[in-house]
Amino acid sequence: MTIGITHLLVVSAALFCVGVFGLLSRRNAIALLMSVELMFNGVNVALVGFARFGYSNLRPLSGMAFALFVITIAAAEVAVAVALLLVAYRRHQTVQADELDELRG
Amino acid sequence: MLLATQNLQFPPTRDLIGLLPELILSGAFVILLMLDLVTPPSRRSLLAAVSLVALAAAMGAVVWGWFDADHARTIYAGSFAYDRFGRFVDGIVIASAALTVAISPDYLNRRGLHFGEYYALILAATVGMMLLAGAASLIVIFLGIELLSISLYILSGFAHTETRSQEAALKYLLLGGFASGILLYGMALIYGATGHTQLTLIKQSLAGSSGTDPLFLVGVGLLFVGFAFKVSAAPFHWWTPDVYQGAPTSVTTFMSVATKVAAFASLIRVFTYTFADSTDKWTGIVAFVAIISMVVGNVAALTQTSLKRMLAYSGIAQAGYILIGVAVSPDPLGTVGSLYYLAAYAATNLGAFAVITVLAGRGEDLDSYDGIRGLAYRRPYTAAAMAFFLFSLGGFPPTAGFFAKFLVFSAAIHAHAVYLALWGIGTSVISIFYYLRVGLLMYTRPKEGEETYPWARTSLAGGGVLAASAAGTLVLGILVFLIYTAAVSAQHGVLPVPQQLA
Amino acid sequence: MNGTLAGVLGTLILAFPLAGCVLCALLGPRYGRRFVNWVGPGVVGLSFLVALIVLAQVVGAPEHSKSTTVEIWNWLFLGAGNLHVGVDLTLDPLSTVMIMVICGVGFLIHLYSVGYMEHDPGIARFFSYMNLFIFSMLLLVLAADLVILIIGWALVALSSYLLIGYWYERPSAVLAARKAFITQVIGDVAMIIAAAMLFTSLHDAGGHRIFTLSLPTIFANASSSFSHGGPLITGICALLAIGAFAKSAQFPLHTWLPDAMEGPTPVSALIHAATMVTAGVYLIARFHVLYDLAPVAAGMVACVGIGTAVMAGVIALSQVDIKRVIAYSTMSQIGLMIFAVGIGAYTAGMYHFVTHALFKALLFMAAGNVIHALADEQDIRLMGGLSARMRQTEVAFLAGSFALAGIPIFAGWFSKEYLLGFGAVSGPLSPLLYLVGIGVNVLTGLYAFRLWAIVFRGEPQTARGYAVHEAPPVMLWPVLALAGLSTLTGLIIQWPIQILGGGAHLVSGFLDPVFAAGGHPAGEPGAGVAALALIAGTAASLVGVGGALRLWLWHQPDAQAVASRVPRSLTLLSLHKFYFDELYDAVLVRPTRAAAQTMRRVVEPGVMDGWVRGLADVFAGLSLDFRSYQSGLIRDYASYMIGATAVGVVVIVFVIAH
Repeated sequence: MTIGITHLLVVSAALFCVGVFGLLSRRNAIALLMSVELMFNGVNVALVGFARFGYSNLRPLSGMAFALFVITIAAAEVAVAVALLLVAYRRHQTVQADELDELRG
Repeated sequence: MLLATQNLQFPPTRDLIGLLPELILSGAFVILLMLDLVTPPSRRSLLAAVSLVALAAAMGAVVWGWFDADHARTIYAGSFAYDRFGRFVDGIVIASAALTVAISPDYLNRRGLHFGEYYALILAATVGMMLLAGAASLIVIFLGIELLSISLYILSGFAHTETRSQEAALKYLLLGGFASGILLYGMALIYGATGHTQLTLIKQSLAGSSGTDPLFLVGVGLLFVGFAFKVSAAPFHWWTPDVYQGAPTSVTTFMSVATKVAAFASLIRVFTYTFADSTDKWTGIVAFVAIISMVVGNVAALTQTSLKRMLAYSGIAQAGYILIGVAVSPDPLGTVGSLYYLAAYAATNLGAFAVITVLAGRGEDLDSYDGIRGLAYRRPYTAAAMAFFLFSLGGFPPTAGFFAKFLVFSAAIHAHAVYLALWGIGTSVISIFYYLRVGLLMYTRPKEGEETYPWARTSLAGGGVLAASAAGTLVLGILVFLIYTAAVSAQHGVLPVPQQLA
Repeated sequence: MNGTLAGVLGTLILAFPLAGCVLCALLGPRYGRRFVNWVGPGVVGLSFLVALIVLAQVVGAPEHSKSTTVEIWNWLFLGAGNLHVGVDLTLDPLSTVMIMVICGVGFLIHLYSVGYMEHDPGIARFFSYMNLFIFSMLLLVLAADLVILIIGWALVALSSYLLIGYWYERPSAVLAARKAFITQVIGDVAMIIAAAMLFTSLHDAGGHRIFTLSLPTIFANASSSFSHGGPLITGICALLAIGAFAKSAQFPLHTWLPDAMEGPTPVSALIHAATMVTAGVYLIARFHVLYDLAPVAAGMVACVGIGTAVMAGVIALSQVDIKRVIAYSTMSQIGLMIFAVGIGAYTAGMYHFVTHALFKALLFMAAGNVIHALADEQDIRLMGGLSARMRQTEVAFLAGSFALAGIPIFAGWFSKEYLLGFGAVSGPLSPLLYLVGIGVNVLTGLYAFRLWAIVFRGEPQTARGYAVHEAPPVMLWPVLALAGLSTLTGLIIQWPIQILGGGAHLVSGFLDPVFAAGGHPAGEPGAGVAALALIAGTAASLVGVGGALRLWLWHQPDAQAVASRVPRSLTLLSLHKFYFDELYDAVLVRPTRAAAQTMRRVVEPGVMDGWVRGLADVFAGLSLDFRSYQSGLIRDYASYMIGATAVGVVVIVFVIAH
């Protein structure tokens, strides 16, 4: 069996869904952050997969460049997120997302 | 072969000039960060002045670009659109940023939040929005969205001692990341289905297909979810009330206006003009989301007791009205209506939030309805301005809101989507209840000896911003032709493929 | 005139009063009385200078290009096939005559106000309103787009409301202002319906719809859009006439005008004599193309006009408030103008408008001098014997009265007899209405000189009457200027011989081209008929004046004795103003009030509140439901979003993609 676009798309979708599932099920804000990263990585697999195995008229470099951008920006986002989490932890002594419910209604 | 020769060179001058406003603001961003190191805390208003100068320069570049971009073209190998559509939106975004910066020093000083990064972050977000407005490639769209979002995540949590602000920032970040994931997945699928990331090329490759490729259509759907999140359209609006309420009010002022404007610009560019050949596939979904937004936004706002939340829900409803202009694609009147609505929304909503910002006192942010009771008897001009903005949000003539609604509704009727106009009119009637309720509260005379909220004195800058917003709201409501012509002109040249107004 | 020049002049004319209004309102309270005394009249004076330039330009323009329409600002243009509204101005002989009178007489009245209002603390507000009024009126007459015209029309109503109710602490003034405004709104609604009917029925010669409310376009396409005498055009003209009647205080919308005398006297002079009330005449003259297509509506206008003229003349005979007498006389004279435009004698109507503006503003301002001198006394029974101490005012008043009564060589004589001459040969029921017009002449002479005799002659009726002083110069000079104009205008612009010979004539030569375009103006009476009509009309006027002098100056027979010989019903009708206020009270006001009270007692709480509250409850409940989903938890938000996304994806894959 040769690896093709279908397999990569399945892996990508699976990663993405794991991320979504994590976001819905976890309570720790750091875990939520990791779930978002998983979703991004699912996307990256799809992008690189398309670039490598996609249709003949496809521009492979676009997809790869896109994936690089996604990785970079995900890193930036994590940096900001961790900083915010640290501040929150100092005030609350916890990073449980469920306790962030003062703003509602 | 693809990029080998071209992209290794330094970008040609005409490409650089196309990005002139963005470059000015990025330069100012760096300068501000360095200036902050040498500016004593008491003189931080200087940083606001520097930002205003940079924004004025960028505005000049945008105005120049408006005339220069008469013949639309793409720059940077098709990844950025240099057209009037983008300049139009840039103008709104820069004006919003400038007005926000102008009211910020007083507000931040009172709240004890006056730090230099604030202005740098506002400029960074502005650059992100302008990139988004002009983006002609999926990658640049993503970049723009993330640049503006990350800046706004930090700004939302700028009140580092307040739990609400922290909560808002974390919610915005986690949900925003989630939405970005969905958006990216959509982009990946579209890339897979069409083989391109540049909108022009995507449009070309779509021209030959039947447009029923599920891969592509799912991609379109996911992309729309990502945009709907950014413009806070229901049912992807959940973050909006919480973040608007928790963030410092000056940040909310900026975010509520500029983000929506920029995201809508990109939404229109991608959907109405890139996916123009398959409008019958997706307009139904957009119309549905528009209706849900109008209903949810207006109904949920009815029973609010927080000004910021009320305006947040009102913003959700306004997103619904603006989406009508997208849902009637490919009718160019819809785009014109949406653009006009964006300008009107920017002037009005910025004014309404600016009122709350300039009034906020030293302690708690001004937020609850009680805090505005009797305002008209202490601050008659400010109350009159707020009443005017509320009238505009409610869509009364002769304000901007009236003509904005008129234009999108007439576009809906023109495109034989009368049901959208009817939903719009029906929900507007509901909206009048909660807008007028706040208006009445301001004009309720406080009882003898009753304590009112300790409103701050309106400074010259604050008064100027309110006057400018009110003037904008009035001009858009009376001298309709001015912005209407500009919107038509912006629509004419919109990339990826210009379409003529019938 | 070239378009750019016309645009500049039109903009300037409008800009000055508007700037004055804003300046007086914003800076007046700060800079005080001197400031507004200069700004208020000054801006109108500037407009008048511009109006003079316009006049020179229009007179000097070659015959075929007297009318210029320019677009100042393209206000609204909503795509192809949609409404287009421009701030378009027309400068033609008709609008030139109007702006000359509005700015010229308006300027004199503003000057006069400086003196009349010298003790009033709200002078800034007063001049702000006055300038707003001048602006609105100018907008109305310059407008070349029906939308702009209606805006001017409504602004006139608004500013007159503000001015009538200027002394807002007086309940009677507030009520009068309200009454005037409500009547105006009836007219506005009629106008707007007429505009909508015009908009929906306009076609070009090829049968294609035309989406515009631009007046030149409407007039150019009137004959292709409407059949001559058809029901649609008759309806439109009737509705426009209702608008005109409301503004011009014509039956049955006339009751507001006497009450409007609650405003300061300069206001009465400006609004209720010189300008606003003639807007109806202007409107019908401006829409002459349409009225020429609707003879039934035009005939109705003529009948209403002459009827109002008679009725108001009768009422004026028995009123005892000096300003109300003049107000009824205004109503009567406007009735004559409306009659003239109704029978197609547009030029004659406009001519009488010009002279009437002069002598009626004069009468009001002279009456203002009297009222001012007697410390706000308006009851003529308490006046008398003022001629000894107010010589100049009396002379001016007499000049106005002669002009009003139509005594030869005074301005009113030329215009009124000229106007009535048309009635002898044109219009419905001709020459029956002409004979009624002759009767109006008698009435006019009677009430005009009754007023003079009672106010200025005889003995002072109160102690204050012995102590009056002549008005200060700032109030006297405008009055004397108008007195001169009222005496000489007719002579200057029209030698008597020309009217007898039926020859060319400055006013008709100037205005006729406007009305010739596309219309069928009334035929000029022949020289013989004109001469006959002139003699009969003048004789009737002299009979009236003579009767007045006998009754009220020489008391032989005594006025009371005459009144007892006249049928009692007629005197009662006159005294009670034909019972219109009572009638409207019984037929309109009370039933409306009763219905409103019933609504409030029964319908409002039971039915309206019921469903409104029910609906509000439903939505409030729905609102709380919606909000309960806004739980504040990231997890919930994410699951709603992913749920919605999943549903969307399913719909896309299984419905849309197939």
